[in-house]
Amino acid sequence: MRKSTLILGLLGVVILAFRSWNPGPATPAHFPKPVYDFARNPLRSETVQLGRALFYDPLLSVNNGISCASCHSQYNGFAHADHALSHGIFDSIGTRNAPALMNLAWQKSFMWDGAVNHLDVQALAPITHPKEMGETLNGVIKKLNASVIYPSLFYNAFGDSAITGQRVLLALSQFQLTLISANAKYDSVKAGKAVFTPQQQRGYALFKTHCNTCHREPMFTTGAFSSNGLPVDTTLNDYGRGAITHRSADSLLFKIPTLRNIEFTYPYMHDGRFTRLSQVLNHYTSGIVPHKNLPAELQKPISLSPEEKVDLTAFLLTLTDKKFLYNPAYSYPKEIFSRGRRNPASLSSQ
Amino acid sequence: MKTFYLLLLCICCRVAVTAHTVQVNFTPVFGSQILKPGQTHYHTSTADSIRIEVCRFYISHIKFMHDKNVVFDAAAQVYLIDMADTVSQQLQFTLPDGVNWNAISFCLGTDSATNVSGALGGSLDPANGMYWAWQSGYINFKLEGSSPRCTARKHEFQFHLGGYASPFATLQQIRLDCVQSSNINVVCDTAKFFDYTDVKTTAAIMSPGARAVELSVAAAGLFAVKP
Ligand code: HEC
Ligand code: HEC
Repeated sequence: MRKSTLILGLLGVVILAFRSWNPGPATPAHFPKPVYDFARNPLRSETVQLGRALFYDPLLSVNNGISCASCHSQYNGFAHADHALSHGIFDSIGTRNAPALMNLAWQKSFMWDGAVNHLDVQALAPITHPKEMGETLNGVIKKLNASVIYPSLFYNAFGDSAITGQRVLLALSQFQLTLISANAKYDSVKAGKAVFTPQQQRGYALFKTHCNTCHREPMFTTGAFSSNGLPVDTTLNDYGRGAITHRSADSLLFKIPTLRNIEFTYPYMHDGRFTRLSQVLNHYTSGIVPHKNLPAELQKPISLSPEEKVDLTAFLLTLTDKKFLYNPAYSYPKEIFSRGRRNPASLSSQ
Repeated sequence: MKTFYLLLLCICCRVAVTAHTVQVNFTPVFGSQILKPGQTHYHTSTADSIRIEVCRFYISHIKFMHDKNVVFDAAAQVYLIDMADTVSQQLQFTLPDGVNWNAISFCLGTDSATNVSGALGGSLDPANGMYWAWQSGYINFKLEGSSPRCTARKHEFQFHLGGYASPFATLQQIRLDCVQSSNINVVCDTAKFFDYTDVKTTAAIMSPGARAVELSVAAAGLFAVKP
């Protein structure tokens, strides 16, 4: 028994030794348990800050021209407003729309087709994609080692200045895990601190009838793969999940996106084909093209009167979380980069 | 004070059970030749010359066996064996004295738990170039090179075998009988790989799928104990 107290005590000392040790962010009361295993990558403010610097640094791309934030901008809920299809180095155009990034700790799989099974390894895809950042992880590590600011940022984050692929990825995860959106009007209503207007209330009822099976509260997605009957864009021929699993039952299925901050995460859908919510609602009432994997809920067209569409839209706008969209903790880290020279990419001493 | 004695006891215990080192060498070869980057080898059955530029693979779940029983389990570590790095080929284990064994068993590749655990370090760091970027998962076995027979660009072939998810799981369990010794030499004979597949018809496997599974089974057959 004595021994166990000693071990506990020792553990306590070790834990205290890690300043600002915190296994995970505070979970909003009405959210389920996070999927991400914070015990394996406990959040520390120094590591979060390192991840934030990496997220905003074009050094991660082969021509030092594109950062994660180039395609995932905070004011768009970390989606990409101006481009239906992603826009990478040397003006290359990808094949998919950059999704919004938020509440990633609650997500089971990543990318529109779930090709990525863990947040930590997601960043490998954009870093190495020839049409996104076109770099290699080793190329990034070399540049980070040569930079003025990173060795000390890694030292602060991990206790020594060794820069490894694992550490780059864990730090990027840490920053992205802090991107929690749980302060929309919807959340205040759930917490009993606000009430919906009658119009929002009617919209909420419509939402629960027609949309909630897939875009399930409070995350506004079940995280599953599904189809909402978009006709295939024959210039892209994107079959989504099917190309990953090689199963015909998965053909044309895409990950159900969250609807949080939907007012700002346009354009919509995996190929960014819609720019306005009105187009999305028109799709659900009159644009669905049946195929063999279309879920039962959408086999019969959804009928919504023009007034109901306005009500439903009013509800969707209650998912806007201004605190999230303007949270200074998520923004370009001037204070970190100003420790070096002005442009983060030029920090590298080459 | 009690803890002090406890500690002392622990140290004594460690000393009391004496141990010895067993080294297992994994050597990538082509027939009777040890593989070296840039060397040309002759493949008899296809009358073909083959250059191997890259041969790297993961070895995990190493166990020492006596008949059907596991007598020593060195499970935790995953090793990345690289033809270009002889140190990576020499694996050392500390076995307690008195353990009798007559076989080793190991897996070619990384298990599915490893494949869904996010960013790992050491031999499993994605910076080692054995991780797929666009679809999560480790490359378990990588063989790259060239051959005049290969009709692909620059006559180059690339086999990146991996995939952890059913029905295309590629992890292979291998058991090799051997005579107990402090030095075991396991060869991975890449020449045999080209008996299973013809680079003229298949020059590249770069993603999980049925072919990757077939060739992973073939890759498991390349391993043998060299007396
Ligand atoms: C050139 C534009 C571009 C850049 C640069 C970019 N992304 Fe993305 N991001 C995308 C696109 C497009 C997708 C969706 C890809 C798909 O579904 O195949 C995506 C998907 C994601 C996802 C998955 C989200 C989800 O809900 O599944 C995460 C996380 C992410 N990106 C983070 C990052 C990080 C971190 C970086 C920097 C290392 C980065 N992105 C750089 C365009 C970009
Ligand atoms: C059967 C499941 C299902 C139902 C029901 C459903 N959706 Fe969707 N929704 C999806 C899927 C899947 C996507 C992604 C489609 C794609 O990009 O291929 C999606 C995409 C969206 C998007 C685009 C989000 C983005 O970030 O690009 C919006 C907005 C949307 N749905 C709103 C609604 C509304 C409003 C309703 C109710 C009227 C609804 N959905 C009902 C499955 C569903």
